Order: sequence, then C-alpha cells, then structure tokens
Amino acid sequence: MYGNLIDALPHVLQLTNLAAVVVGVIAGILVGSLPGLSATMAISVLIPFTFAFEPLTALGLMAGIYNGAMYGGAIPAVLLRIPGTPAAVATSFDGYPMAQQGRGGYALQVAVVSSALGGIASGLALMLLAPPLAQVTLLFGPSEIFWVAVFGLTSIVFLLGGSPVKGLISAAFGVFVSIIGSDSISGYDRFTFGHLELLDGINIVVLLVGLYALPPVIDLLENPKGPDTSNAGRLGTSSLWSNLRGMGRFWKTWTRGSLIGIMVGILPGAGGSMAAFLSYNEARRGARNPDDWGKGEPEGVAAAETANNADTAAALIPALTLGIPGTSVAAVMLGGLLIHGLQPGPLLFRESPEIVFGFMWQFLFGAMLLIFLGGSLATNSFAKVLHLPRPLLGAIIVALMLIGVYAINGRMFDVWLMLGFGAIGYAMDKLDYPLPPVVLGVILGSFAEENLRLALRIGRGDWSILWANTTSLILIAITLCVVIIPPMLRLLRRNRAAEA
Amino acid sequence: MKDNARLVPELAFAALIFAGCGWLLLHALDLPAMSALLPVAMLVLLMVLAAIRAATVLMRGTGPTGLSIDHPLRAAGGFAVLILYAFAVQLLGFYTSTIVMLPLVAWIFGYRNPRGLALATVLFVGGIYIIFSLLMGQRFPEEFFQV
Repeated sequence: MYGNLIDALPHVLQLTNLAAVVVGVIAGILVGSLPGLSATMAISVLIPFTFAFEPLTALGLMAGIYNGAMYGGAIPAVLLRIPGTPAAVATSFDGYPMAQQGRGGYALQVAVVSSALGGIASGLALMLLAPPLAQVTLLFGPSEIFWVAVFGLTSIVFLLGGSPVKGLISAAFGVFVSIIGSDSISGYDRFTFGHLELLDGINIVVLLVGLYALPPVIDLLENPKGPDTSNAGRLGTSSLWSNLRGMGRFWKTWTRGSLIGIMVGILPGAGGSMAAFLSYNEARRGARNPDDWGKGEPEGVAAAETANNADTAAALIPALTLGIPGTSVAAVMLGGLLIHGLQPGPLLFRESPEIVFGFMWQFLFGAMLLIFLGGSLATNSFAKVLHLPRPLLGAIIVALMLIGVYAINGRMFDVWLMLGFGAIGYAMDKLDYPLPPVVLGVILGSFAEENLRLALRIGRGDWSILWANTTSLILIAITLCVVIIPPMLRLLRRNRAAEA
Repeated sequence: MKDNARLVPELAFAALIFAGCGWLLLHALDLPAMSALLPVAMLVLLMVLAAIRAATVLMRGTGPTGLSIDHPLRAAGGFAVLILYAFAVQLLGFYTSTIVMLPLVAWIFGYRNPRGLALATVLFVGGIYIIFSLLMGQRFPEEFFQV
C-alpha cells in the first residue's frame, strides 16, 4: 500500500513538477497576501490554464498555491490587521500588536515557520491515513458509492452551519447542473435547449470561475479604497535563521495546533478558520500568561498559523478517498482533478497511484518550501504587493477570467455561461447561500446518478438493493446522524441556556 | 421593517427558484422515466425548499442585517464592465478590448495614475501575448481589423 508512495517519488522529482510547486507556493503567498483574494479563487482562476499541463504539474501548482495562500493570509493580518484569508483572522489577534510594537518581521517569521510545520504535519497525515482508507472504500459497489455521495452532500450541507434549507438548495442546484447535457446511459439530451455546446454537460471550470472568482472581483471594484498600508514598510527584523533557535519553545503549541488542524481538516465543512480559532483558544488556555495574549504574544501567531496550515492537506483525506471535500478549496481542487480525467474516490488510488501519491508528496514539499520562499520573500517583497491598487487588480482578474474560460473550448458561449453562474453566485453570496455544496453537487451529482442507476440495473429495478447490505445500512445510519445530531445538540444547548 | 432588511431580495430569490424550477419541470416530464428520475427529484426538491424558505422569511423575518453591498451603483458598474467586456471581445477582438478595458476600468473605479496604468497594461497584455499567443498557440477572438 505504502510502496506506491515511493514509486511516485521519481515523478514528483521531475524538474517541471518541482518547478510547478515552487511557482505555486510563490503565487499562493502573493494571492493570500492580497485581502479579498483567496486560495479558492486563485485555484479556480488557475485551473483552466493547467489544461495543457501534465496532471502532476497542474496538481503541483494547486498544492503550492493552497499551502502558500494559507500562509500568505498572515501577511496583511500581521501588518494591517486585515486577514488576507478568513483562516488568518486569529493570526491578527497577536500578530498586529507585534507589528505595532515594531516586531512585525518577527511575527511573520513565526507565522512562516509555524505554517510550514503545520503543513508538513498535514502532508504526513495525508500520506499515512489516506491509503488505508482508500483500501477499505475499494470494497464498495454501486449502491454503497451512491450512499457515499449522498453522505458527502448531506454532511457538507448540515455540518457547514447556517441554514440547512439554504445548504440543501445550493446542493440541489449543483446536482441539477451536473445532469445538464446528454444522458450518459440513455443518450437523451437533458436541458440543452438545442445548444450543441451543452451536449457534453457544463464544464466544472466554467462554474467554478463564475461562482468563486466573480463575487470577489465585484467586491474589488465596489470598494476601491485599499487597506491602510502605512505599516507595511516597517518590519524591523533580523534574519529568519538567527531567530529560528528561539522559536523552539513553541514546540507544544506546534504539536497541539497540528493535531487540531488535522482533525478539523478531516471533518467535512469545518475549515481553516475553525482550526485556527480552536488552536488559538487551546494554546491560550494552556499558557502561563494568558492575560498577555492579544497584546503581542508570538505564541498566539504560532498557534493560529500552525492549525490553519495543518488543515490544508488533511482536508484532502476525505476528498481523495471518498470524494467528500472538507473545505471549499478542497472542493475546487476536486474540480481540478476532474478536468485532468481523475475521478476522486476510492478508484483513484487503484487507477492513478503515481498521480495521487505524487500529489501527496507535492503537498509535503510545498509546506517545506514555505520556509525558504516565504521566509525571505514575505519579510521583504510581498509586503510591498499590498500597495497594488484594487481597481487595477480587479480589471486584471476580469481579463484573466475571460481568458481562462475561453481557452477551455475556444468559444464565447462558455464565457456567457460563466457570467450567468457568476451572477447566481453573487446573489447566493450576498444572501448567505453556501457555495461549497454547489460545487460538491456538481461533482457528486452525476456520479451518484450513474451509480444509483447501475445499482437499480443490478437489482433489476428493485429499489431494496439500495439497503440490502450492511455497508449501505451503516452509510444510511451515518447520513441520518449527520442530519439529526446537529439540530438535537443545538436544541440541548438552547434548553441548557434557558435553564441557566 | 427593521427586522426584515432582506425581505424583498430573499423572497424574490425564492420566487425565482420556484418559477425557474417549475418551468424546467415541464421539460423534465418529457424525458424517459430513468433519465427524468434525478432531474425531477431535484427540481421538485428545489421548489419545495424555495417554498419553505419563502414561508420562513415571511413568518420569522430576515433579521436586521441587510445585504452587504456598500456601494450598489459601483457593484452594478462591476457587472456592467464584465458584460460590456465580453461583448467587446466578441465584436472587436480580444487584444483590442483588453488594451482598452484594463486602463479604462481601473481609471473609472478609482486608480488614476496614468504611468501606472500604461505600465500595467503593457506588462499584462504583453505577458498574455507572449505566453498564450506566441508560446502556447492559443487563439482568441479575432481583432476587428483582421476579419
């Protein structure tokens, strides 16, 4: 099982694939450092440009961006108190006071080392936990796979928080989009309305760019006033390597943050923000001087940054093995796998081991590279990028969106489709409809339908085949738990609060 | 109406979902049974959920927080830019439209440094031309003077 990990290494060490990770990490730090841009957006804009690349080159870029952006978010959080990504909110609690005290450079160094260590722990967890999980899931037949898809959709809807009705609407919309086009079994056209461009279905990239890239672009153009960058130039720091030894005292925080990040990452619907907050709170609770936290305690930066980076690769454990992404960026990455002909799920490990295990190595390398690239670049160059005017950035992304979507099939039809999805995504975003269930619905919708119909064919039309074996029954029970337990817990908490 | 700051957009969105799904359902009913299975299930589910959402909003209200759009006109302008740019690319060609769009949009939305605009346009369009047209052979919509 783990032999495939070693076999994948020569593929990962090819120059182009290594270069892709390096470029990805730099681009990720850059994107993460710009408030309003997220790893999800960067990857969704990038995916169309990776069509011509080998799968490992494309995935290396994505792994690098994901790792880089999770750290990059710390730069404006520390320097400007504006988190570059939602996961960097907790970093600003102590990072910004440190910057005000003239220790911004040291805060960034603590952030980059902690991010790298969290990322390495997460990469190792992905390598060790994903293969055995995939072995188990290889035993699944069509009815079990159908229930896995149902479980994936249900868990992202109900564990994401917020209104379950809105989550279900998002997921159902995604599933509906996935079935547009020619029916793969009967050949009937479904909802193409005579448009030949829709016969092959809607390319997931068109949807991703519309949903995830358009709303932030509108925000960039809507709010032209950039953040206050007056502090950005004053970092006041000595070299990373001379400060590294003194950071050894954070080892407990690093270990705790890594474990929290990995556990949160595996849970569908949680995400880096939750990991960072949990880790920050736990570290503060165990600190000797909790009253100093929030006033410039470097351990606070270490706690938050370790956990939000430990969440990255761990979120891909359920994504790669079951096709259930833990975060929205993992959902977008599943889209990236799909466009390279790789169907996430148990079969991925059997059919493309060199790619899936290579991807895991790339995550590990990306995390290690953070120290070398982020350490020197972040404290010198990337802080200056914060000066980039938002309207100019918005205009550049508008052009990149069009290029990326047009390049898929060389037709304007896809651009108009992307704008349509963008308008829907913008409305959903403003009305607080969650977007990850839409992406997961598109990924799992046709997959679930195919397996449902296959199971019914095997059972000669008898629906009881869907609950005829123990695995299916266990999956149904887990799905029901996901639906029932969160509202019950909420009710219990409300009753307790009322009694108190 | 303080507790119903989003009533109209929430209801309008739910009504749109309901009406759109109803219209699509008419098309779905023409499909063979197995091909229609999932589409019909999803469309009916969406209609039911939209109705529940509308009923919830009407009964419980939407709360005091309105839509987080600070400058509606500027947001509308952002959408207009996207649509006009797509039209321009289709009619005038990719490079012509991009050379005009990039500085114009940045200028309109608040970045008014002519040197910065010129430099950004040259670097961006030049970079795209080298990477996509020269190195990758990617074809974009033809320029109006080439047709």
